[in-house]
Amino acid sequence: MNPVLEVSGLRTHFGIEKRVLPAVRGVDFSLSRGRTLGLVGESGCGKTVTALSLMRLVPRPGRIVAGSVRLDRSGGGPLELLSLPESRMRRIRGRELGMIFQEPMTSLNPVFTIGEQVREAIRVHEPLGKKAVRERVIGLLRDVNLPDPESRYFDYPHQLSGGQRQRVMIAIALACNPKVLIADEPTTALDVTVQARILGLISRLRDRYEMAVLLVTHDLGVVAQATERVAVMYLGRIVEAAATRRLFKAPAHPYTRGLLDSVPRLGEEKRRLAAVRGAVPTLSRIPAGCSFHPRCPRAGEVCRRESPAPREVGEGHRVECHFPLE
Amino acid sequence: MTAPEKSRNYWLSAGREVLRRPRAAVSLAVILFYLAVALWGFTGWKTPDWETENFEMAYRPPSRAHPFGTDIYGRDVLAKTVYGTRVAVSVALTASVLALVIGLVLGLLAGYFGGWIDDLITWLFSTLQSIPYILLILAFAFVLQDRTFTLFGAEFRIRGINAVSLALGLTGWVGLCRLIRGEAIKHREREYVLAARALGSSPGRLIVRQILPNVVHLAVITFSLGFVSYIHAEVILSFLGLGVKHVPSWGVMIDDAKLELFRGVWWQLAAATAAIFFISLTLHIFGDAVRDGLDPRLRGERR
Repeated sequence: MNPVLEVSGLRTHFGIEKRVLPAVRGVDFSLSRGRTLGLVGESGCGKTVTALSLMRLVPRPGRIVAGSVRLDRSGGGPLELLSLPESRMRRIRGRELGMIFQEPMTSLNPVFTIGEQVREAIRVHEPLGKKAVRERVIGLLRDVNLPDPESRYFDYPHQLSGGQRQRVMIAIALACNPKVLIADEPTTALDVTVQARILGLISRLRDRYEMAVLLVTHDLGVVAQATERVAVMYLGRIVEAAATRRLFKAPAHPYTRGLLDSVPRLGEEKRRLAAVRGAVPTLSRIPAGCSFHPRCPRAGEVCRRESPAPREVGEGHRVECHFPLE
Repeated sequence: MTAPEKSRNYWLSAGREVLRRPRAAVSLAVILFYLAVALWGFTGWKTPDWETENFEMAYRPPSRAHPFGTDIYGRDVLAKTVYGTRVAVSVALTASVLALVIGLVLGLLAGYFGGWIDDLITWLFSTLQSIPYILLILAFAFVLQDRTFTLFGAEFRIRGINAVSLALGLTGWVGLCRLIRGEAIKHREREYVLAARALGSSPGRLIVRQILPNVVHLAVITFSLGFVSYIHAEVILSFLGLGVKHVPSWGVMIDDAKLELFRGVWWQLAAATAAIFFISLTLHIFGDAVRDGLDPRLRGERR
């Protein structure tokens, strides 16, 4: 299957007073229609910056310094997003790439009704008549299972619950029928029951709208529930990528292993919960060699000197480690 | 599927919200009354005569023929007050509209874009602000006095009262600009602005449709407070003999009263003061109500 969005060698740096902090250090992945890719990692590993880089919305002083993001077009060859002028990129945002943010509390403008905000999402790209827009808005609100959309249309964000707000954000992201949906921690601010429903909603809409989804999260439960493939990020690189089932069953990178072990399981006799040793180093002091080696239980001499090249350890299972687990 | 036809527009519902408050509605009525009095002179209808001098009638206390009494030349104080309203409102309106537009536009540009645009605008208003206010207004008024300029092919000559209003407007935008700049910086970093950018909104659209509605209540309250302060400024300048000349204004009336009070002639001072008092009070109340009405989170609350 042809990928809808293909990312390769993406590097995004933050330059602060002549120091360069490399937040994303060469990331490759691709998104396919009707599939969800999970991007997981601890705080500060570069997940969100990667997502924002795809939209070319990296906040200053961040800058995309290298790489390519190619969007498949139905007619003609793929479109390189990183070299588009800003005015053309604006037409891609919202129409080809939709995005959902973490905080449904602050992602809606407090002074407009939710109907007006969904309507604005449509009107940025399509000059439709008043009535047609309103019908489409109510249709979208119904698609995201917002109860009673006709009267909710006139509610302000502060009158909705967190889950309802996130539904509205999804409706806004879907307003122009994008090919790719980027969801940055869409359920982190919600409680667990609402979380499951929102994830289910995203999956259903993905199938209905035939979208590719990038799901950014730090929650392995979310990954298990909602993705087909996973990419694990550590310090700005994807250290392991595999089909979700395979990754959970047979992780090859010691870091992935550590993450999986740090999830508590009911009914398991264990005195202490295993955690990944140490803390994430700051971006200004990325260790030489394999960047994970100071925290790695399997690190050897070579890990201190050389950064590992990506290798295949199974079908569609790629890992960057000198001593992968079997 | 039937969508309700009644449009619940942001501005309409804000307006309805404001008028639900009795004090605000009464204030609006008073403000409209002042505006009507100010516009009276432009309708061509007969206005009260303030020019006829009658020395036999000098310093008459309030009576049926002259409800507010007469001044040293025997002119009707009520007529002078009415004419003064026209002067005060036109000065304040010109000045506050000018200040509002300049302050809002520059504040939004500086706050949203930052960088050298921000530096330039900040430098501009810091410089203006470092000059003592009265001095600055006088300097502007003197420079603008008796200039002619052409606008859309028509030639205009700036005279007395116009110079005062332009000077007030060209110097009065600083406070609003600072305020809006700060708010724009705050809102620029909010997630909903990022979300709107992720939808493909252009910078212009972001400023007008996302940030402006979140800061406009500040502009409204500054407008109504500014209106009051420009009325006061006109009074002060006229009192100092630097503003309006040859026609009545509230400031000129108060200036006259300096020589009247020790004779027990209080009505001219009282008339001008009352006129200033009621417009100040109602503008404050109304501005406050509008501010509350524009913020959906405060709607429906009564204090």
